[in-house]
Amino acid sequence: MKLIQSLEDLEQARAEAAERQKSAAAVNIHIRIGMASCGIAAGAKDTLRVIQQIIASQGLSGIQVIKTGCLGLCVLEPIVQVQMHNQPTITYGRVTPEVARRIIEQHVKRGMIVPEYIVESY
Amino acid sequence: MKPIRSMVLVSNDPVSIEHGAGDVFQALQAEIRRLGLDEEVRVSTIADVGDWEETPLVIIYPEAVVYSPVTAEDVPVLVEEHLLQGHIVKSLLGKMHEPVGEIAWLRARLGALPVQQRVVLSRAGIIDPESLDDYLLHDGYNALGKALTRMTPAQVIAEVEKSDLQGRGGAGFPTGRKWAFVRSAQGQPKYVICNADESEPGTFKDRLILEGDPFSVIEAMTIAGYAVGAQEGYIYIRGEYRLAYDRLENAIQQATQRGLLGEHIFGTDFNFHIHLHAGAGAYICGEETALIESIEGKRGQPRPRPPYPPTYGLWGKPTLVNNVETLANIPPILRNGAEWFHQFGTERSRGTKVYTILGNVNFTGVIEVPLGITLREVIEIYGKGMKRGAQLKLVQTGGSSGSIVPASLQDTPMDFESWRKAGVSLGSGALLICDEHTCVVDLAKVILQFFRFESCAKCAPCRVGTQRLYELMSEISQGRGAPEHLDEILILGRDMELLSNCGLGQTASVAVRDILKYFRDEVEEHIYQRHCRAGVCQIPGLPPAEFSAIQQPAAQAD
Repeated sequence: MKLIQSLEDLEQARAEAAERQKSAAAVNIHIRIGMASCGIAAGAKDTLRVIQQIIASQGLSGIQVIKTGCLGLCVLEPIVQVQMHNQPTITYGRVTPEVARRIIEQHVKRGMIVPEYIVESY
Repeated sequence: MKPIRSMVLVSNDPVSIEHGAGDVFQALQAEIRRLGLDEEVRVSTIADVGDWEETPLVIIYPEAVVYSPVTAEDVPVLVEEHLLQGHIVKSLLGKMHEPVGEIAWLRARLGALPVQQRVVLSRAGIIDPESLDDYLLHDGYNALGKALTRMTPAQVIAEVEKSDLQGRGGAGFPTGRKWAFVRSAQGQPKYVICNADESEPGTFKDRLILEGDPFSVIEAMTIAGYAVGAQEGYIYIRGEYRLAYDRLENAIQQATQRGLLGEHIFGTDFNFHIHLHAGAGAYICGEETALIESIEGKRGQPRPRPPYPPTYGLWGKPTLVNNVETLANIPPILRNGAEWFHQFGTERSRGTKVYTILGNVNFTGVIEVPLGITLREVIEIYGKGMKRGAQLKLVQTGGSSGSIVPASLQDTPMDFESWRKAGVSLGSGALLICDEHTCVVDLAKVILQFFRFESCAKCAPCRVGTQRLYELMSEISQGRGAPEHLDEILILGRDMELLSNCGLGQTASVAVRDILKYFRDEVEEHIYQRHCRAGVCQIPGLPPAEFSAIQQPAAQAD
């Protein structure tokens, strides 16, 4: 990868980064999962594994799963955020593997949010 | 000195000034002084209040009442009714509508948890912390690019000084001034240290920043290195923060690959390298000179000061030591300018503060709010109220070395100045919220147990004092306390504060002192009536001597 040697290089690197993220098989659904210590302690690794398994086994496309840090809502971990087709991001809290399954089935596949687990005011 | 109980803000955007905001401000000050309220009420200005038709505005906290339009003639009524008698003056109330300007203060008070207003945590939880691409796409490295290619080191320091950023590690020292000290100090090479040894119980804000946004700390350290003339940086990270360590290591590697760290950064002659150093679990190593000793490979014990690290730090060279949160403030300040930073917080305490909320509230976690909001607001708005509707009893701020704030002080604005005035240290940002079921004697015992364990034993006041304080509190909690114990605690606490070599011993007695200041009756109850009103301390009904004789064999038989 090219070295960043000036402000112009920085802009170019940024454009390339945007291009790389876009070209990842026409992603239009972003699933973010909080993977800081608090999330992992609350079971985020299981949640992540389930989400990845469902995506792989059902061959869902256009989905990018992103591991992020902590939003600060430690009491509600594991946190999963779903953003579809540039719609506002929906934040879910206390997402156990079962809840994650529901989120994928209902929200990601059919576009219906799962109201019971939505975290308000985020 | 009385704690500040109200804060009055006058809008001073150009339109308000045209409508006489200046006169209102002066009238308020004069009237408040005339009634002798100037120790309890602070008057300040606020620049951007958004799209209000009728100006000037007068906003009074903690009630967050907005009066508009206010003229100088209205001021005597307002002060008399609202500030002296505590009634809201209905005839002067402004038309309520949602403020739309970029005014953090009011936004914070709307009851939402506003992600968009975050400065330090703006990326945490949003970006992939292991991807430099993601960081670049969220304004990453703009600040370093700007600093290296368009600014001289002196200009960088001037900008930081202008922002009035204060250190977020606990002491609140002006960051810009510290940078200037290191820059002007004699001696080469110089070092930059990021203090990530966050071991104050209950504090985990730095971990959140390091795990969620590690590149920002690296970028900030590079900027600091450029500003003070250092080429080497160390991140001293708490040993338990394995995940943060890994993410930082990854971030350093990725930044180095792209020429954002290492030799000739941004094509200039500036070189900067960052080393990671994991702590080994000692609380004392969060103290900056003990931390420096530890990096040097020695036992983690504080040095006598002065000389301070800016002149005599790592390997005896000028060294800048900054907290993680302080550093994380630097890139946004350079990117957006010092003026932008002034919109957050209060006039004397600029910016936001990251707090960890824990204890008996419904919501525990991390928040970033402007400096100057009150504890009541933190508990009601962000903490979503006390658990099971219990009564707030006290809040411990800043971890074990922090102060105890009783419920009666919960309307004091949380900024460096107001709290200093009220005798409270803002500390590292932990807010341990306790309800009525907490026993202060038990709390003190737990805190002292911690210090007794963590004292490095280099100096006697701390080594002996923490042990003795713990013994005394322990006796009281078991119903074996004597009235003279209280005096001994206070004298011992004062001696430790005056004679200890470092912050650990100096602050170990703060919580106990505060407890005796605000909750003395409850402690005395343990001694005279052998009763714990919270029902936490197990005080036997019989006098102590008989009790130990009768009960102990039975307890062993269990």
